[in-house]
Amino acid sequence: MIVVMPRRLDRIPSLPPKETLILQLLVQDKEMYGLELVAASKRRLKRGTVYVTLGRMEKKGYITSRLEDPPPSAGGLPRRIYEATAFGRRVLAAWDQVAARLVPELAR
Amino acid sequence: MKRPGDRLRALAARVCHVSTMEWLIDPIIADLQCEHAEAMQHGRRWRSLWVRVAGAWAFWRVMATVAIRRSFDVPREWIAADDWGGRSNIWVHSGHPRRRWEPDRRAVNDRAALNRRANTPDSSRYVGVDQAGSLVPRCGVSH
Repeated sequence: MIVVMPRRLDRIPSLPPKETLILQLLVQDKEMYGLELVAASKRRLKRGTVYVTLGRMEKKGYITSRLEDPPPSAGGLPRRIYEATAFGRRVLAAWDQVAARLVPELAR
Repeated sequence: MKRPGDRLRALAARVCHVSTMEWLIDPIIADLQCEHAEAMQHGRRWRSLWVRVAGAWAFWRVMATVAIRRSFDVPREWIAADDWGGRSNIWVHSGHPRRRWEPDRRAVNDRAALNRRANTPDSSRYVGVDQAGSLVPRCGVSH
């Protein structure tokens, strides 16, 4: 289990809707790359913004990433694979609990 | 033979920071190249064309986001580095991190400019604004 904590935690972590969606997808499917997330989100994530959001989430410590082995045939760049951290999972669980308490209709 | 996205990546490498390349640009190009290779393997030419267009669109969206974010960060860094304390400066810059327009820094090496400076009222060259809002004439090299 990879445990990554944010560099400084001087305020309550925030979780905007797109970050919530990405975390939910990563918690469900373990590891995904950028375009996989876009495809799995059913058009709720866009190609042009998902990478910026992923970079921001990584800085916050919600997700971690690693480079996939480079493709043998094409010889292109290796893909970056993203995975939710233990901290990210905790934030998502806490966020779901808060949402369930405040707005029970919207709870998963 | 060049792969799709190689030119865009080379362009980005000239203007973007290494960390931006690593975390934002390279994942886009990698996904573009992998998806394009898959489409070509299956002989789907229209799909490969669409992948190129969509990948280029994603690339330019990210570049625009980086440029906008950078244009906010640069004045913030200058203000943080300003040894005049709570004063912020009005700056005009190109948005490009390596091509900031810093007239005072260039002029300081120019003796003629220094002579002109000695005979020119400060307020006509460079005006700083302190937090109280009053105009403060300033001169010299900025940090």
